[in-house]
Amino acid sequence: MKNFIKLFSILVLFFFTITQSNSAEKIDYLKTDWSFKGLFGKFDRGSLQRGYQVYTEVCAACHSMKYLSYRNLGEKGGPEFSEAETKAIAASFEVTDGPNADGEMFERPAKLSDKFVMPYENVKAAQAANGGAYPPDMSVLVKARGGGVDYIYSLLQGYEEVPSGMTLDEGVHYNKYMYGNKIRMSAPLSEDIVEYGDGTKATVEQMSKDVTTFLMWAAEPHLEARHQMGFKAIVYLIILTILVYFSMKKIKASHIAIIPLALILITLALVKFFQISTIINAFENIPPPVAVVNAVGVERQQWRKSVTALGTVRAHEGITLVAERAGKVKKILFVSGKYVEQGELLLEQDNANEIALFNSAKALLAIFIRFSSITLEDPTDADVPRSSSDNVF
Amino acid sequence: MSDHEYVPSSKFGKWFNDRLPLLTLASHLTDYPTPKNLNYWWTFGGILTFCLITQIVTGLTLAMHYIAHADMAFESVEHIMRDVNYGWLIRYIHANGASMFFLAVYIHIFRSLFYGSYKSPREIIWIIGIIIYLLMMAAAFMGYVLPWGQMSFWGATVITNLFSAIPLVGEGIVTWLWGGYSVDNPTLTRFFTLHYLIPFLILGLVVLHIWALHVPGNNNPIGIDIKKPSKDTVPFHPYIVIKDGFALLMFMIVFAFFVFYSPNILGHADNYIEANPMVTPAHIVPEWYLLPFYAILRSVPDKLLGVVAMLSAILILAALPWLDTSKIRSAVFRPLYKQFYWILVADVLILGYMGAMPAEGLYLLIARVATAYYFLHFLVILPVLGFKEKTIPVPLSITEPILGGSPNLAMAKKKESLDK
Repeated sequence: MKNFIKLFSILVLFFFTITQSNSAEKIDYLKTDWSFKGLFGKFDRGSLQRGYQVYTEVCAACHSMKYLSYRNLGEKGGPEFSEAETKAIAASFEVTDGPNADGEMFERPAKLSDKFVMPYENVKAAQAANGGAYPPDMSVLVKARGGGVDYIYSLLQGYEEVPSGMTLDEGVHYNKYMYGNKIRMSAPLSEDIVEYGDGTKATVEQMSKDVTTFLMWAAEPHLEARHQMGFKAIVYLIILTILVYFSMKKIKASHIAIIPLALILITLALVKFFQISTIINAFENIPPPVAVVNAVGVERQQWRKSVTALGTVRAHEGITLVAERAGKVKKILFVSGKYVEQGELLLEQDNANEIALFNSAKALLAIFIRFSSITLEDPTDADVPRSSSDNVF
Repeated sequence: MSDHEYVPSSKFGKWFNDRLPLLTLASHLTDYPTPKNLNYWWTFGGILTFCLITQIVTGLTLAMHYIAHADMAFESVEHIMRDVNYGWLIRYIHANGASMFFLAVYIHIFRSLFYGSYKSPREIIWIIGIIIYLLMMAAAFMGYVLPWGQMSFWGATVITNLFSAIPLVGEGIVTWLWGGYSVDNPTLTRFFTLHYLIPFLILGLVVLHIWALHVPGNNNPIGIDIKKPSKDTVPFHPYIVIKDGFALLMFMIVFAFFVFYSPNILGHADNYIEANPMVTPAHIVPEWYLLPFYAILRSVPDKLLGVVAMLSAILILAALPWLDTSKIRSAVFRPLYKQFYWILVADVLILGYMGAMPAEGLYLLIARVATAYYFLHFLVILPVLGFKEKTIPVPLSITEPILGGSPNLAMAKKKESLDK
């Protein structure tokens, strides 16, 4: 055991050095009580809901939150807005969807599954609108800053008059907690910039706390589940460790391993059994889903004898008529819906080409006849060019 | 290794064992004679095996949801953290598991240094261990690149740029490593592939590491050769199994605290900002377990020499069995070495601290002194100490300090408390 204490103290010392070196540049941030810290830390529901209000009414004008969806607002461990509230929040935003059947994009109210609508199309647009500075995405902002929640909380309240001897460019503000003390964002919060629905006084301090809590949740949506599971896991491990410790002592004393090991296994099996039986119980005790029944009073009504409807009539059989030769149609000799008889002419095709070919062949024949009458005196040969002119046809 | 040949009791067991002696292997592993005086520093081998398996299992699960693409990697990690069932748990176990792995491996290495476990006949175990350690660093570094945050990107840029220090071909090698002219998508995809491969290489080397260990058997806190099996040994099962299990559970409690209550404390905040090649972070810092070597790299003013110094700081360990000229293994019987050992531990911790600080002013000076001392320890102090040091007489067997006249009262006392 003596070795053990040694080992443990070295472990603790070691990690102390690491965490010290990681947060070497320590600044004294403003402190407040965060409900989500500690072994059982949970979010303050009211604070999260107010924080969302601050985010959406103030921050969202410039800062996106692209990894969050509207459905997250109603999920367990978050602000836990009711389903109707969450849907209403989503529907108050317009998103571009599509392409639709015509291949065009269209606007529609957001649904629960949509991601938070971004204030700017892209980073370049955001920079152009903010004098070259990009308002960072807030999804994981708390985790992306060294001081975490304390830093954000302090920064929001850190706007002060420029100290004498320091000059700032146009559009740059002085902030006590910003790295280098220069910040592009002007002080975002002022007293009563939002009006809280639950009657909480909207002081800068209160709003800073609320919106920071909201940002913490946005960055770590499963924080509550993590804390709950962590406590269970660690208690479980500690109990198991104690059991193993005693069985180890037992082995050393009696040289029999099976009994204590079996003891551990039985304990584990019991724990598991209770867990599973609680789950089964929970399932059995689930109230049956509420069936909605609509009751309608019986009353007398007029029976209508005829019904007006629109319909499409289609022929039972169809025949496709095809011309023997392809060609241009010159004349159509029927109108739609007309009855026709067998042998009736329906279309006239353009035969100008054929007539021209016929005439040229006739001319050729005439030349052949003249030519052959000069060179060949034998009248029987006069038939040969005629037959060759048939070939031309 | 037990003297008598193992014969399975069942007929099928015998038939199977004649064709594939798995049962003989299992019997060897259970009966494996272990020195009875092993202390808790010896439990870290088992803990490391647990760490490796945890990393492989969680890593496989993460790989099912991760997308290795420069445009999507960061988003897919957020997808794992938010939408994948228990994705946050798996990712935090994997990320903190890397730190725990290194914590355990450093304890394991420093235990070896204290008790002289690297000395003959265990040089091969030691060298395989150093190769595993190198592969672990490679895997950890590449794994850190995968979330594609700012530190991922710039860490990858800094570390891969080290190769440009190689004369003549350096620039070409860097381009070849990157698969382009800067760290970009091709770099990410190849790092992902290698990050997936290396753990299995490590697993293979771990098998060799254990195999090589089972030939001469374990070293022990008094560092003497013991007869196996004898009064000085106990079978691996159940004695060592339950002790390793107990230590592993203690380790898991610490592990769980990190995973559940401060999962991000060991990482850098900047890695939650998506990689941006246009913005360089104020300080580029590697993960804590690489900091001592980073300090050595930066304390040398010349780039090439810095890289050489950093690499030799690791590779010098492989030569340790021949640099340490003392025939006595355990520092328990080497009063001078014991003091130098603790100075070395402090030196490495100081180097680690300096690695996290900006390389300027007093920090740089301390880092340089600490670097010089690091090499001095291995290249001068250790070889000379073997000849100069007056050692305490070593007991002939583990049981001797209690049964016979004890050469070291403190030792005897410790044994008694252990045997109770």
